[in-house]
Amino acid sequence: MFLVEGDTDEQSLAGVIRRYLAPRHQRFQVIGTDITSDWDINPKNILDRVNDEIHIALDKEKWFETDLSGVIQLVDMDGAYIDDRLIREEETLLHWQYHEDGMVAKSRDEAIKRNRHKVQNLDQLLTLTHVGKSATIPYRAFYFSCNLEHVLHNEPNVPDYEKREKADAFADQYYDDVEGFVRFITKSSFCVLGSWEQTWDFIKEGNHSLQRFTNFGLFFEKGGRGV
Amino acid sequence: MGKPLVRILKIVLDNFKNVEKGEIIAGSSENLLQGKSDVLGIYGQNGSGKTAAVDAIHLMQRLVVGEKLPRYAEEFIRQGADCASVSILFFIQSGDIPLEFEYTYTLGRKGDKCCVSAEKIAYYSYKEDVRQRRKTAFQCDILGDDNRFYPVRKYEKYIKQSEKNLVDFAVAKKMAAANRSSLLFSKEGYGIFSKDYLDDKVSLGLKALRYYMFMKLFVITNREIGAINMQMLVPISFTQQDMQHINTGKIPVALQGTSLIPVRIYQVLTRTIEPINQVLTVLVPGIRVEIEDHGRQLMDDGAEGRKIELVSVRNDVRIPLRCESAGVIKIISMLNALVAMYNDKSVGLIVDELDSGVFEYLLGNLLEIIEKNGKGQLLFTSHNLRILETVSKESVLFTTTNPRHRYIRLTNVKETNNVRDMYLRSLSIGGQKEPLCEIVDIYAIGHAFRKAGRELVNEYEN
Repeated sequence: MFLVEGDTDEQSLAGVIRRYLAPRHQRFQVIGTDITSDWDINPKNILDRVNDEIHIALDKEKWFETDLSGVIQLVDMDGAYIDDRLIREEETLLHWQYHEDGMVAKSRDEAIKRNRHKVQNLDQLLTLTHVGKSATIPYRAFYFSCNLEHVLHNEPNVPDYEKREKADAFADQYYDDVEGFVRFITKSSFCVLGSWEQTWDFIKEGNHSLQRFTNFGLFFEKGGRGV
Repeated sequence: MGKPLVRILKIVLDNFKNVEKGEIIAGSSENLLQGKSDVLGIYGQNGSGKTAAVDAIHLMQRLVVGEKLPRYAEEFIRQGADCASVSILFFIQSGDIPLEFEYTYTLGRKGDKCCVSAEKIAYYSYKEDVRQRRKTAFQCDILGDDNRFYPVRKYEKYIKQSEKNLVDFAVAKKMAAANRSSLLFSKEGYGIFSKDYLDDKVSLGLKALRYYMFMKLFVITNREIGAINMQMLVPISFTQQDMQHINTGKIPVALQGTSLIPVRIYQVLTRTIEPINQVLTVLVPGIRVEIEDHGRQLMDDGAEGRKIELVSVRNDVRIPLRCESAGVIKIISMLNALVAMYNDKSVGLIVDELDSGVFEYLLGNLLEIIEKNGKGQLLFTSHNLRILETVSKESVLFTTTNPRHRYIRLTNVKETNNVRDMYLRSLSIGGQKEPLCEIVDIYAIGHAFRKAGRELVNEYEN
């Protein structure tokens, strides 16, 4: 089961991942929810929230926890780990802007606060090895940096109204080309290699969480057994 | 002796439509004798053999009432097969004689025509409530040159010993082949076997079956539903037994404009409308059906007829029924049979796509009531999953993707499990003895929609 941040993440990736997993007789389910930035969620309740999301999806398909071989969470970095000094303020700005060397926000304080909160939640997620009501389902988080569009289209600041179109285009491009997708996500210059722990240490360094990186390729190196 | 009670116990299809092999347990003699309903819903994805079961029963009804095969019967032979056969096991209680009676018809091709190529009868009699060994009582290859039937011993004892019987049987067989009808239930054949045939179980069974098919079995098929939607006919099923001369369960009434019907049928129709309205106003509050009488008119055969039109009435506003929604028309067309089935244990109602156009909440409650308190037999196909939440697991059957094993019941359903949830789970994750559907990839649907959209755009631009 995949937890992703939103509709367009699902639109972009779900079809091709499904096709990748199909020969392995795995079914999968995608939940779109951005839980790391949500102000109501904190390190204390984030596991409960993950479990709630999982159960909403299980109920929809009438599955049980024991049907799941694993839960994969895909998160956007959004520059969460950068030094506060890399955040500039520009009051006329409507949406935050991500650049390789810094981010621009309408309110710098807001952005700093958001980053702190997100890091707390992320760090908590990274300690999880199993989820579920009795913590029996293997769990692992992978990242897109600074966000999905940045990795897939090399554009970190895609306006919302273009996201859907880009997602469809990406899904269609790899619809009949699962191998091409796997090459793209495991062999591109933005793919971070190493152990899962190493790839996370890497993204937390400096301004890496603003740059174009992903460790999602690790999932495919293990043949989709993943976690 | 009273009228026989009949219930369908089992339906077996061989090479019928897309069912290579399929077996459906539809009812039980215990329920019939205790006056309890047998409800069975057949569920499954499109084109998986739900309607095949209804078509098989409907065709048997047509043969038993002496009709020829319809032109489309050839479509019933599975692609790649030489012949199709349908076997239905009935429980019959005639007076104090119980009997399990199995009638099998086989469809085959003769030249470019589809005919009833063979018929077979087998039965199990009872001795002091114990079912006896199965006996094959009649088996005949109608299209073959051999003018005998099996078992030969019976043939020789009954047919061969009388010159008249010999000729009658040979004629009946020829006629059936030429007319593309049943041999046993043709006028000639029925005359021989229903009278004083030396196997009295056969005579009893044939008579009971014919009575049941004429008077007690209502089949509402997809073809008629199609007709309803196309606004051609509304089959109002009726059960009044006092009407002589009427030998079919349905009165065809044109929905498009008016129909001219014989006066005696008009009388039945007016009486049929009242019970329909009693239930209809509960199901669809505030609506009634009435007959708009346009007066007397002579029929083609010189008999007196009546020109009528069905109208619906809401708050004193009368509109032609043809202007009503498809769901209302569907409900009205089967309501009378539904009422009959609910109250009369000898009635069987077979409905294809019971849910089409009917508000699902209503449908679920309707089925629950019928299952709990009904007396007759209901067999239906449906896609509606709401029904699964209200009926028991014994009352549903699911089609599989395996043509050699078309129908299964869900396994691992506990009494507390919701059948609907179990079904949905099995669709997506498997776990049943046979796969229930081809997995649908929602992302592939999205991709296909977009691809088709692009092609449409190209069409316009070129």
